Amino acid sequence: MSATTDKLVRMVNQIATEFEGQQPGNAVAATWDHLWHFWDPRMRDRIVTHLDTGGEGLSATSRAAIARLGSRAEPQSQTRATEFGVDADGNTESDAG
Amino acid sequence: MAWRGEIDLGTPPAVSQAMVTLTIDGRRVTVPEGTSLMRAAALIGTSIPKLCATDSLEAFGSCRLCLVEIDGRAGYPASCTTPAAQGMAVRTQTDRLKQLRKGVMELYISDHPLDCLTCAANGDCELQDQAGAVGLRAVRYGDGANHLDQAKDSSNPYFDFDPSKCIVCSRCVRACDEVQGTFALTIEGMGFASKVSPSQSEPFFSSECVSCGACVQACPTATLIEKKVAETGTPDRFEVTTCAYCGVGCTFRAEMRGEELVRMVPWKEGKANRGHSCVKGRFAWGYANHRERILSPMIRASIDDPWREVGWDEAIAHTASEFRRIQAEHGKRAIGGITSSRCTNEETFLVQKLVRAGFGNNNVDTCARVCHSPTGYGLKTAFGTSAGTQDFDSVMAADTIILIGANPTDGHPVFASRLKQRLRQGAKLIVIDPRRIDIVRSPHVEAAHHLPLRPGTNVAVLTAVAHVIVTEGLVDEDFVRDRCDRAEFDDWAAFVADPRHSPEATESLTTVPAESVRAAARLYAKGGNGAIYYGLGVTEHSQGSTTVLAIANLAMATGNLGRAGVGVNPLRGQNNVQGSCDMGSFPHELSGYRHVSDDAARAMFRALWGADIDHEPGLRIPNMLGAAIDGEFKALYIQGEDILQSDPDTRHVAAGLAAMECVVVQDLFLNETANYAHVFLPGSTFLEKNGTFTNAERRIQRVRKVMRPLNGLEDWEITQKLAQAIGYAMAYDHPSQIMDEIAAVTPTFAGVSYDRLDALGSIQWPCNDAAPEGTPVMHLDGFVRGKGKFVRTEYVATEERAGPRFPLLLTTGRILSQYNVGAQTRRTENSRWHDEDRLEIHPHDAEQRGILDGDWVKVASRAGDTTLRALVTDRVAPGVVYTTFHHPATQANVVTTDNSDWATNCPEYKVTAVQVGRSNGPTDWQERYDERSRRSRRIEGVAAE
Repeated sequence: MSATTDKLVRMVNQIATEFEGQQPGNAVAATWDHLWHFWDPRMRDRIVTHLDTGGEGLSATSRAAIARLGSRAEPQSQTRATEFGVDADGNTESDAG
Repeated sequence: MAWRGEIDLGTPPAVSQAMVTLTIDGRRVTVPEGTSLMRAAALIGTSIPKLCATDSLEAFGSCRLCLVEIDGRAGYPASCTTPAAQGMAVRTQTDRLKQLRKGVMELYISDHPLDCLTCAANGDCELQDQAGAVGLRAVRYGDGANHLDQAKDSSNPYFDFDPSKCIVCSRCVRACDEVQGTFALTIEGMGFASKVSPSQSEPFFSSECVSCGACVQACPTATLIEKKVAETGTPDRFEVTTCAYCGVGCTFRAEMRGEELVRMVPWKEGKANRGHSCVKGRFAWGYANHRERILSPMIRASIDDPWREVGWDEAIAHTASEFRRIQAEHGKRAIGGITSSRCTNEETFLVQKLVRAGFGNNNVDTCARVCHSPTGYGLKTAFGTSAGTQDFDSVMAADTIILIGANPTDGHPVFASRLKQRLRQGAKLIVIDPRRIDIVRSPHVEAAHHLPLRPGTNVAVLTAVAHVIVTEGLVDEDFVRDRCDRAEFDDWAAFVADPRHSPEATESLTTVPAESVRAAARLYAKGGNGAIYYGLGVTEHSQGSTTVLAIANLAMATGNLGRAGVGVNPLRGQNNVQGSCDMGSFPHELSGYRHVSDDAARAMFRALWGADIDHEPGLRIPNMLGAAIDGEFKALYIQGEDILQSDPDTRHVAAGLAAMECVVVQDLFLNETANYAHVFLPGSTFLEKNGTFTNAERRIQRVRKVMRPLNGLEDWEITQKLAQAIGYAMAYDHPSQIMDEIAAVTPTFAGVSYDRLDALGSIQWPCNDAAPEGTPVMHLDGFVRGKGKFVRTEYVATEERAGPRFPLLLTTGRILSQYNVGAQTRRTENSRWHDEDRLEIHPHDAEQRGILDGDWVKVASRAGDTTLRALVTDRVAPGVVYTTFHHPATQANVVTTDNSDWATNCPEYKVTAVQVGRSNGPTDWQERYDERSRRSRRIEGVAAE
């Protein structure tokens, strides 16, 4: 395993472990969503390839999330949390309320 | 603008809703109850003579110059200490008052050297002014006892102390006490023998003085005066600008004579610093003219070659050619850029625009990656906003303050002074930190609780605090019901209530006594307004983002959000960390924190920029370096960062840089990263450019050009030239146009413009039609994301664990006098306070290893080893060692590892398992690096020194 792949394996396992604690029952989807929104395509491709070639070192949650990543389905954009000053009717408002 | 002194109203403002009306010299004036007569008079333009009074300090009433007469009252009360009262009739100028004042002034002058024409303060001396104001024309007292032969203390590198000119008004002592909070000065002796004394009659340099400059600013004579003023003369113009050091964002008057900077004086109207400063912003700006500054562009074919100076056109054309060649050969994602938190909003916005629109990818990142990226992730998840919730003034309304993973007296000293002011007023402090940092116990300040946790256990401690709050019924039920997602709260509450999260269950893990955790939790939950301030001791961990989430959970559970005195307050490290993040410097986010996968946001940028934006995230800094080693990433444009020194696992960084075909460094100096660069583009200092910085309280402030750039171009102009050379059109004439574009595409900045900033002084985002003057305190009625989100915070131990081979835990940080990688401060006199990084080690650990204070020691981790000198101290707990990373010779980051935060890749600087032993000299790596560094800095035609 190359140093980069080894690092990616550690990273995805970290993410999966965190979501197992945060969202029991939803850890696979949360890990998949995170990888999609924060990882460069090259990193994703490399970890998918690693899974396809045996996936040494990957946790069960990591494996399931990466398998979903390989399906190329896209999760929803995360932007909702960052909209400022736009109410339900599209009018601007201050975050100060 | 032409130089003028700041208006001094004599005493601070009174805070009262009740108003009183009085007459002063027959003129009616209405002021808040509690206002001094001196201030009331000043507000209607009447300057009562004064010496010991200044409006940054509480009234003292010692100089007896500000006497007035009041109808119906006997005597001549001091106007500085007499409050205005309803119906009062005051006279400020009568024959008797004139006589008294002249007599007082005559006594002062009888013990003052009459060397005004050659005095450094000539033309800017309150004593001189007041002698004129009272009409003193002669001194009747001849030879007698005096203080004129007192020796001058020139030990401080930035200011002189000449006691022969001192009038013992105590303004310096009071400034040190009230404003700075160090209590380093005192009045020694009594009566005629009274004199100002640093510490126990020590020279300033070796005293407890922290050189904040408050005493110099307060001094009404030339007793305490900047050496630069003595050398240069008084300034003749000034511009208000913003400091380029830490995230407090102090504003200063840059006082100039021609194009020479005479001094930086903290601006009283500055809303971040309220007229205060620290040793860095006040004095450490000499690097701008340091002889090592590079002023000509340079290129070289190989990093083993010497540099060759070229003109701007050749350097830009060469860089563009290389970038295009590499993209043609290796694909458009083979290059990227790094923006700088030391540069302006406009400059960082332009670099990320160059990458996204010009390079055609999202390979842009910023140094927030290695500091506060978990803050962005955590607060965005919990509240929907990647920023702190308060303004700095808020701390003055806090009753209980949790300080976790931050050392503000060193890292954010001007905020620390405000914090200490509030603590002296009675607010309670809880410190959660492995080290006994200074604020745990300092003059007139003592933490109610210090939780000296084991490094790496923040999540366990904060979840234990949450356990106490939930299980002891301390939750603010109304807040949770109205403002937060109930189902998520219930899930979280059940999680933290599990006995395995109790302080007793986690004590063996965290080493914090359970009862201390319980007491701290009760105090925070029920001790009035509870505010949390945190720093890199929170974020730079493998669970940095989780700790930020845990902090947000605590604030929501206790209802400590949405008003003054509470909140979640990240103390940002560098001056524009907040701004660089706001400006879209992360590879997954456009400006305003909109994800690149957001079709609508990308469409808006495409329409304005005329370029498609990649909808997938780019590489983060550590991933860029990894990809370079793998041959997938070939070129990098680095504006104002020194990743070789500041980023972890130096060998990995060096290998990544060495693997690239074109590394471009834009900086003031040949920094460590430049050792691996092929192009060097000389940058401009904050004194040489226009722009804005955004500080830790979301405050956008102007940076104003006070001198022409010595390198010929402002940094945004360099980026623009590079964009033009690669074929992407940019045509800005002034940074104000870049800000207009930022406002057009960034909802949080919608109402920001240079005109509005000039009119208001500063603006805290969000700023839009509904909040045209900005938003000091966020989340007043609700969260941006709708309901506040509680998230479970399961403790996951870092993979970096102490063991037989590496039994100690290393944590790193900074010191007051130095800043980050030290590129600026090491090139100032600040290095006299800290000329090397030292390893703090507990006496027990030192004794076990035969280490004495000052010994050279080797620190080894699984990543590498380095040597430095030991400082044996019980500030660190047994089992923990600590060092700073300001000096490249130390190479502290050779030791730190590639462990990082699970969500953001923020490095785990704060936990590295190490072994420490005595050493005879530098490590092999240090010797090899030193040789490479010397070879790499060769410039053709320039003799090495």
